[in-house]
Amino acid sequence: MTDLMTSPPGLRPDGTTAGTVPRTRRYRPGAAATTAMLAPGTVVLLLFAAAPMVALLVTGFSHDSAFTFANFSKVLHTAVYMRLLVRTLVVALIVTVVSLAVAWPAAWALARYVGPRPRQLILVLVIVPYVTSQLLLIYGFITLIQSDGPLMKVLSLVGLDAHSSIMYTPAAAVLMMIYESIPTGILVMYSAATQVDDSVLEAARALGAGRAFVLTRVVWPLSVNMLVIGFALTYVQTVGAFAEPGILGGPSGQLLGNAIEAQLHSGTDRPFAIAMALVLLLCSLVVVGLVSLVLRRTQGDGRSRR
Amino acid sequence: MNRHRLLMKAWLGLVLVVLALPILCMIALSFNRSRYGTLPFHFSLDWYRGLAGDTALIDALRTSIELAAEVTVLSVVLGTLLSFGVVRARPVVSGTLSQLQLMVLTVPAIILAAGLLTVFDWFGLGQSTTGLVIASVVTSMPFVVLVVSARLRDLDPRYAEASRTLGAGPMRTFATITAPLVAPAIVAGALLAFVMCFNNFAIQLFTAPIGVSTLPVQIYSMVRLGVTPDVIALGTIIVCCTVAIIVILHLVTGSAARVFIRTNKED
Repeated sequence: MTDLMTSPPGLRPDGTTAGTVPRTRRYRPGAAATTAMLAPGTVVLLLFAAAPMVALLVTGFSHDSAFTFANFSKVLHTAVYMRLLVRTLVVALIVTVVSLAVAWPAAWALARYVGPRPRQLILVLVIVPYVTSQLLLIYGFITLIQSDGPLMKVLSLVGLDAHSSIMYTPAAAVLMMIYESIPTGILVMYSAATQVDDSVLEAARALGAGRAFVLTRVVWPLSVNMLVIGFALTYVQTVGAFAEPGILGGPSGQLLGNAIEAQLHSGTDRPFAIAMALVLLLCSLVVVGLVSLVLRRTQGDGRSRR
Repeated sequence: MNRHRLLMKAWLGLVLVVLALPILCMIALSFNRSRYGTLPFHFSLDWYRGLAGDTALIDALRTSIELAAEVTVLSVVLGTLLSFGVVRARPVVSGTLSQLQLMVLTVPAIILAAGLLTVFDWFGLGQSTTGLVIASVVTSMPFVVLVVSARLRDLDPRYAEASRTLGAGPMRTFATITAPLVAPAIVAGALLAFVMCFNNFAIQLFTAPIGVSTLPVQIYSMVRLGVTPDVIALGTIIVCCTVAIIVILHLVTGSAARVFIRTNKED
């Protein structure tokens, strides 16, 4: 599951450093003490967070400890894997766009139209699926959608066959991934909504702006930064999905993550699995880059025409 | 304007219902007599009674709890020290460290796991229990750092300064002023690290040695055979425990959500 820090500690989501108010200098103990406190955690992070990323590159470009592009050309020249790659990138795009479209209005309502106490309760409710094990969520989803399950019983009232189900179809996997992405979307877009000042909206309305104008020229430019963050977090996570398509997707719903999983588990050709993972990661970053470029451009337009 | 507001609130309500539905459905069916989770509903506690006899699940649960406990202790010690260091370090250092941790949490677990496995091979660990613990610490510690360093940053430095001015040494200041002020954040970080480690399926799937099944991994191997009532019952218990921990987290920190989002608006 996923994933979430909307920003590194100390950094506000909008990119400015925390605390615009000048701070009093705090008491600093000796530099030696600071280094001693930093050392153990830093060593762990360097060895097991930074080094694995280096290891991916080293392994991906090697075969029998010689430098080679062979692993990548195998990925790029096998039609099956290319189809899986394209399908994964498209599915992740659909999942990301739909989950953000579902989450944004909900987050806006949560930030503006709900009182402080119920708001806290709702945020707790949103966090529960976020921290619950992915496997249990999938399990709950299966109990809900399986044939003769509660959902199909209800749908049979409107004429659908209760014994049928969307289990083992790509749609089931896509719905599950959307479900898992919604909490991330709500949490990110909630911070976006709180960043839009009420007085700005009031000013726009007082000056005669219609609802469409307020949305496209005021709310949108002020929300684009967080929208990009939400897109990046959701997209990169979804691209690496394998449990949802593996369990729910059926044979035609498999994604590249499933091929990587199978290859990692068989353990026969790890460099190849890693090459697939790197291609996937790189492609997803390119998509994120392009989308953020396009989104940021719309923000710029809103400003220049104002 | 009011109709617009109402529509948005209705949408929020709908989204919340959809989010809750699979979990509520699982809870409801755990009390249902049908073996395959099908309707009609007949109340029964059979699956909870049968749970104790499912040795594979219970063993996996024990493995998971032991792993999460170990990882929590390590994450809290390393993470708390790191937090104290980070708030005093130069921006370059603290920035790099937080970027590294952000990366750990955003890169898909399957890709991080592939890299970790390679590093473990370099160190001669392979797929081992040690590797599993290390991988879990790396993915849980950032949550401790997140909570504790945020608390340290919010701490008014004047408290410690006052204590020093009034003649207390650094150790005494730490023990009587700083530690009590930071303790709730450390507790919150520990709870969060435990939940995150316990539920981190993908990392466990790839780094656990053959023969060691944590609970999510065990459920993964069972899920292909269809819905089993034992898992539904155990899942219900775990979801309830997760909710309880989140509620405690909420009470300790004042707002569980603040761990995951930083807003400019103070509630």
